[in-house]
Amino acid sequence: MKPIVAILIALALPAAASAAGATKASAAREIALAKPKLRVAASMNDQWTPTVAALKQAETAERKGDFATAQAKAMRARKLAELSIAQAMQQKKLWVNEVPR
Amino acid sequence: MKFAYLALALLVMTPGALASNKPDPASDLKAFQGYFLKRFPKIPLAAYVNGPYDFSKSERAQWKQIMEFPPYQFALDHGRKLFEAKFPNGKSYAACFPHGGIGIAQNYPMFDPKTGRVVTLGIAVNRCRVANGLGKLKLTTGPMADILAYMTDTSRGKTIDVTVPDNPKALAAYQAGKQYFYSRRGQLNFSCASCHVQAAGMHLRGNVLAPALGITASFPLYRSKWGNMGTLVRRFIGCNKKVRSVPDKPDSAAYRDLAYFLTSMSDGLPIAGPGARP
Ligand code: HEC
Repeated sequence: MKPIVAILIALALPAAASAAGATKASAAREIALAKPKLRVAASMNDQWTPTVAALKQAETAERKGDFATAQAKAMRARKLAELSIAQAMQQKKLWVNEVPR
Repeated sequence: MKFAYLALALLVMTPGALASNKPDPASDLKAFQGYFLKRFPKIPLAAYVNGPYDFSKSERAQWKQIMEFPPYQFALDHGRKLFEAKFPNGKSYAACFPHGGIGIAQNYPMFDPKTGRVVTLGIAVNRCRVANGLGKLKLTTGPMADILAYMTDTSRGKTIDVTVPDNPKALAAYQAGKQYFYSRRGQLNFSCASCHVQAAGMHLRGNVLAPALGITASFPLYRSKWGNMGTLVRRFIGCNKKVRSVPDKPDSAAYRDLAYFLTSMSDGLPIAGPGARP
């Protein structure tokens, strides 16, 4: 159990740190990292509405010069897109379990 | 212990995985309708077109009252006018359809071997418009819903007959629609079947979840919550959004195939549209 917590903290720390010290460049980089994930999710026909909303918020914040918000929202958009991609991948196999027999 | 579960899960999953390899609409139909008939033995097959009204006495009473002055009547009259009006080139919708477009709604969606795609009645109406130099209508509501209301009314009581031909592209479209229907999507992780098969007849935030059997038969319909008419794709869009999933385009392959699968599962039931819902 403990190692998992440690890994989670290790994963979360750099993210939090980078969101705190966000710059114009780092926010733009996070947005650029999120976008291709959203494209993959859309191509798999499984985009989530909160994903699109988060990216929109990121871009709005970026335009306003609020790079910390832009970066945090972009990271959230990417995370959600990755979850939806994982869902779509799993459903390629699992959907058959829902068919009434 | 864990291994036993895994083995069990694999055992349960394998027949499904095998069965999904070769599309077999005829045996799907039997299993699908059989599932509902067995689960709700008091509801006769044809009554499934009434959707939520088979499961809620209060909604049913309200519905009976509403139907004394059907709220889709204006749409129906308007749709008839639009359907019968001449295009600028002197032709009309009738020329685009078999039997002049009268009494044909039960055969849609239809597979078009020329394009290899599924064509819903709405998409067929738009094709007719384009062929006659007119622009496409929005597929979700407005004049399109009115035209469909009229065309569907001329099929009222006719038996839904959406047979998937033995054509690889038609079978692939059917299978894609089936997979869409049973796949969980959206942040809430629901499939269409989660609500309209597994939870059919149950209540969700004051709504009755209509069973998937017969669910297409009353479209287009007037919905009090909308305050106007809506087509089947309008409903798809609404149900996608409910689970926090970005909806598809109204004329997308995904929605065409979904409508194809879903309507074919109601083969043998009567057309009951246009309809009215709370
Ligand atoms: C979270 C549950 C839920 C999911 C998932 C869901 N729906 Fe629905 N659906 C509803 C509810 C609730 C209604 C009726 C009441 C309302 O409109 O709010 C409804 C109504 C409908 C209707 C109209 C039924 C009638 O008789 O009026 C159709 C058709 C439909 N859904 C299709 C679908 C399809 C196709 C999907 C998958 C893309 C889907 N639904 C996914 C909850 C769901």
